Amino acid sequence: MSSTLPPSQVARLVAVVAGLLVLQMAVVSRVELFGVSGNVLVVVPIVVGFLAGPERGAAAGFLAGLGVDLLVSTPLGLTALVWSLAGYGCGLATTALVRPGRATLLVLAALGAAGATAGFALVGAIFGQEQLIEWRLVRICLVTAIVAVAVALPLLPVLRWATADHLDPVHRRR
Amino acid sequence: MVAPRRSGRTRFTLLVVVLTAVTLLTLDVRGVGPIDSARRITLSALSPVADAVAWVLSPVGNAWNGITRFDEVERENAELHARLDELAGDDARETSARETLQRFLEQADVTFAGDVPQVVGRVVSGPVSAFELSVTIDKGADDGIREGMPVVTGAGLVGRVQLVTDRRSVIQLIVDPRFSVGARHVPTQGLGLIEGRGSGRPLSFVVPGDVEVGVGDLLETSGLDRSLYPPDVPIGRIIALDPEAGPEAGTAEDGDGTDPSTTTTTAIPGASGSLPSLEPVETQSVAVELHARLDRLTFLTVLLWEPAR
Repeated sequence: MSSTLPPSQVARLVAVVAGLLVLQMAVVSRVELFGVSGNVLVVVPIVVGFLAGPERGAAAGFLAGLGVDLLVSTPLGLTALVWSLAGYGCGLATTALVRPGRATLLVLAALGAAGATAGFALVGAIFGQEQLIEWRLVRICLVTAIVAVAVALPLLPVLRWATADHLDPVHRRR
Repeated sequence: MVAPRRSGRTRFTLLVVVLTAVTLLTLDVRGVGPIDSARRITLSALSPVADAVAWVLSPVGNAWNGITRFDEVERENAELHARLDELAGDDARETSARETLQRFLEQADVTFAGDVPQVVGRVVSGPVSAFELSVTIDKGADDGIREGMPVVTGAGLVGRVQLVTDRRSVIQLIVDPRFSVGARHVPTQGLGLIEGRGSGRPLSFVVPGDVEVGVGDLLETSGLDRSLYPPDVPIGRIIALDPEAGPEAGTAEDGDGTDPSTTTTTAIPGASGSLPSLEPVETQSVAVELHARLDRLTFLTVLLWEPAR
């Protein structure tokens, strides 16, 4: 991963992920919408993919997912796996667009969060976590998408700082 | 010329992170490596900070939940007003606040655990992910809690200790589909298995087909030798003979408990011969309503029970 993200960026990203984990534990997980809570960390791979491309989106998804995996009872690596793919996909989608703007980010946040949540349940079921396919899944996807849209823009400057590469102007273009 | 090389590196990066994640997944599923220790360390490190942040920001969360659950709060408010009027008009007007408090304490007291030592913990946070069916309490290994210990309220069993740090315990709730507990059907003393079926859904009680079950029958922990749970802890009551029925199905008519749609045939080992002979046993599955309410957990009691080895 060091070839993808320099150590300084990895350290900044880890700090941001740790801060978001605290926010998730302290606030977001206690606030319910339609009977379920959202997940603020799923925005990390989406926004990093949007800002810095598929490679860093995948790496950020791995870090953020691993952080979540350490606090839940599903197998370690499951969230990291799915969110890596989500970050990669969002990065690819962004590079395919001519002029991606903030509206693009909000659409990516909604679709990426819902897709990552559904993907988590589906991949989890493949790895023996059949309980993840439950009747609340659609509602969980919907609430996760809403929360992702709500926090994507506020987190944009934070994640831009975390992934900033001053030697590479390509990564500073948005 | 640059694009293909960069694209190749990008795919290589994706391959590395995916393979790393799959490796971790495989190791965890197979129970290899110090993964539980990593989880304990992470929970221990983040919990104090999260508690402080939660305390500072609790008015925000309370306000939001007040808005989004307004109907529920309004209904509870109306119920409380009705109860208040009832109390005000009661002949027992002279009942002192101390007596009221005593009654409350009696209701909250865990009376079914015999002489099993207990530790009462306050629920400090819910699950980190919406997929989790767990809560965290503010007591841990320092208080004698160990993984696997049963967790109850005054109403009955609510779950078991899933993960313990020095000062925190993560409680897996009984509605988690990965949760199962041996249960005894009180009227007939028949033994079966209670399984969680997810949030908002009744539990499932799987019992041999020859056990006559009926709506309203009570279920308790089995207390069999080497059971993970102490005997006679209340769990719930049967609300329907159809396992797919919701809580509103409590008015279902009583039957013979052998609804063909819920009956399966299972092979269990027999007792004779050098090799176990397999005799088919019909089982039935019925819907069970939990005694304890899981939607407003504030205090939980951990029974410091460890099964006989």
